[in-house]
Amino acid sequence: MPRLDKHNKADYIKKAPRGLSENLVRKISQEKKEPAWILKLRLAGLRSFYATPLPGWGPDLSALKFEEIIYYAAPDEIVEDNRSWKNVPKDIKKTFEALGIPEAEKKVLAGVGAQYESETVYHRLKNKWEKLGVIFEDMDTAVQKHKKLVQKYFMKCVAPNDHKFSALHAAVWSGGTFLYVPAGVKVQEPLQAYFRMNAKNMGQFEHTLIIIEENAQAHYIEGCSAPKYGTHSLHAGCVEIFVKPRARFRYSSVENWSADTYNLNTKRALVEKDARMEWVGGNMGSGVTMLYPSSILRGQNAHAEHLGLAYAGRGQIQDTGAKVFHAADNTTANIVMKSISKDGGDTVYRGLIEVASRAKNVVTNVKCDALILDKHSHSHTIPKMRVANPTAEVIHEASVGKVDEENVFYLQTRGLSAEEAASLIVNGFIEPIVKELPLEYAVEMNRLIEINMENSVG
Amino acid sequence: MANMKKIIIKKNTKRTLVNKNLLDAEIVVEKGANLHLINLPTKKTGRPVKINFHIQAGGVVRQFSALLHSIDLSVQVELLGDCSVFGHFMIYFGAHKEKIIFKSHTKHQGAQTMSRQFICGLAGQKSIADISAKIDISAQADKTDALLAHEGLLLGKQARINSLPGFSIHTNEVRAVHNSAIHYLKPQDLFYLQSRGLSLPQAQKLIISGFLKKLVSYIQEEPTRQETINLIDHKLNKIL
Repeated sequence: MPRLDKHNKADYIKKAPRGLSENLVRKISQEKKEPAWILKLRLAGLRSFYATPLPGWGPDLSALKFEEIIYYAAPDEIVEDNRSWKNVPKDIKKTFEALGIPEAEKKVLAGVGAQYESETVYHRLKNKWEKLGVIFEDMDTAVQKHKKLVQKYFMKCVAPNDHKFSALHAAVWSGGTFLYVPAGVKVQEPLQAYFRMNAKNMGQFEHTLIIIEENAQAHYIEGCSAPKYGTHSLHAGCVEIFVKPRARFRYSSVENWSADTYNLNTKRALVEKDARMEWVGGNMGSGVTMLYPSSILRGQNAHAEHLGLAYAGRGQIQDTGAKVFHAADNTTANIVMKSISKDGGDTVYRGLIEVASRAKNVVTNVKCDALILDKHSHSHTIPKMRVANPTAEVIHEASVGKVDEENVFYLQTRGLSAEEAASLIVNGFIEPIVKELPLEYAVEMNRLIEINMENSVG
Repeated sequence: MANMKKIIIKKNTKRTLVNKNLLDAEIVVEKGANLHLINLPTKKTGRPVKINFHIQAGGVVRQFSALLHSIDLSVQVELLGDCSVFGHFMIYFGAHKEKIIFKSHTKHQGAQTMSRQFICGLAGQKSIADISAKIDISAQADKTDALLAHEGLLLGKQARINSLPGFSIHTNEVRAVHNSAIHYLKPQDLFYLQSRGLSLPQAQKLIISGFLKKLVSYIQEEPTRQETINLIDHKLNKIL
């Protein structure tokens, strides 16, 4: 999806308060008519946020002014029935049309959700999947319609007091996706949600809750973007995924926030017996990203696959990685991370593999490779391994380097320009990740790499 | 060897030092000098030990360490001058309840510098090995070549190995690779040796001995090399 730096008028922002307070949290809960347990969770999150300091590791977050962020703002025209594009306000609809969402929905998707600022403007699932019991709702609707189900799982995988930004999320979350796939149902087409921030200093805190029951299967895709203003925006979303025995789930995301966004997202999956969880992610945007999708393999024979790509250009820090906790016998994981830094960009791979003492016969492979395209850019790897069982096999390898001049020369002798040659080599470098993304994202990612590769050789 | 405080390896000279008491040391390796340092502590150290190297242009340090007792060793290396080289070959062996902590921080600051760090070891019974090795490559350290490899074997149900390799790289004219593997004695390897007539303890001993001793060949001094082999054998005989 193309990066959109154009923004729509945002007069609704004038009414929206800046900064965080208990009043704001209560107001959000009141406007959404939430049950008491959600308000209780929000207030606990707020207290935990105030009590928890900023992390003492990772990128410097001191420039993030919490008091200037708008934590909740709804577009002026509230969409009451969000199941039809006809009801979506014209300028918002144009934004999503430019992103190709309605067209993709018609052609290839099982369902689509679209969030604009703090509220969902569109959410629809194709009839055939509804009839099989699949639930694909925006989170606010799910809280009302599927009370018991949501309460059973909401913030049970990522606790509000897990860290400072899960606490913030618990306090001010709004919108997001609820996906429930009943036992035995295999959703063949992907489901997609797109999150768009529009206004200046906006914060987006969508909550995605996914439950894949026994022997079920689904693929969910998330995309996101925001226009660039030169002042900070904040994204502290949360993704919780429950993959039940023998189920299979793929979560794909392409993050393309503007370069003044702080992307401090939390994503975690609980994977049960004989189940499979796949993470495929591309991080191209935002100024500062801290994102470490985690898999807790708590059932025997559970498997996690983490494929990730991070691109850091001028002024960007991509601090990303993967965490896998092996808590049962015969669990396996495969992690492949690729990163590219250019024009002073900074990429960090930060990973953790933990094998519990009771987890026998664990096998994990981690491969992280980094390309640094010029002298001004940086790359860091911090892969931690903690192994407490003597039957485990945990292997990690990492390499860092630049585009090989000999390879560029070889391609030039075949008629390519230096930039075309470098671009081809870089596309080959990221191919293992890109080939797993849905086609339109893969095409867009290749295109973004080509644009960013200009003037990168010489 | 006397108390090690500051040691200077003079320009264009070659020295071999054996550090049996594992003393703190600040070692300056001048231009073109060559140092072979062997750390072979014969008992556990009751305090953290720090060894710092400052290697000037063309200087070469080859360090061998055998950590066979509880220890807390920290090695800091600055490759200050162009074409300086640091090699570290280390084995660790926790057989019972040893706690082996090793931290290294290698900073490549000159151009065309090279580092090679090979670590292998095993943790048995209730021992714990905490191995952390960081490599920094500065923006001026063009054409740096850095390699870090760690292989750990877990033998005991309550044994643990924690591994934290890491890079921090600020230039693109670099070749940097690290890998880390933590695994165990493969039943099929043991079975193969047993099918050739060895008992299970003999098979275990043969594999572990080969695993640890592959780095011992990097000790250039024959008496010290043999002494290291004897220490490893002695420890193996106690547990197998």
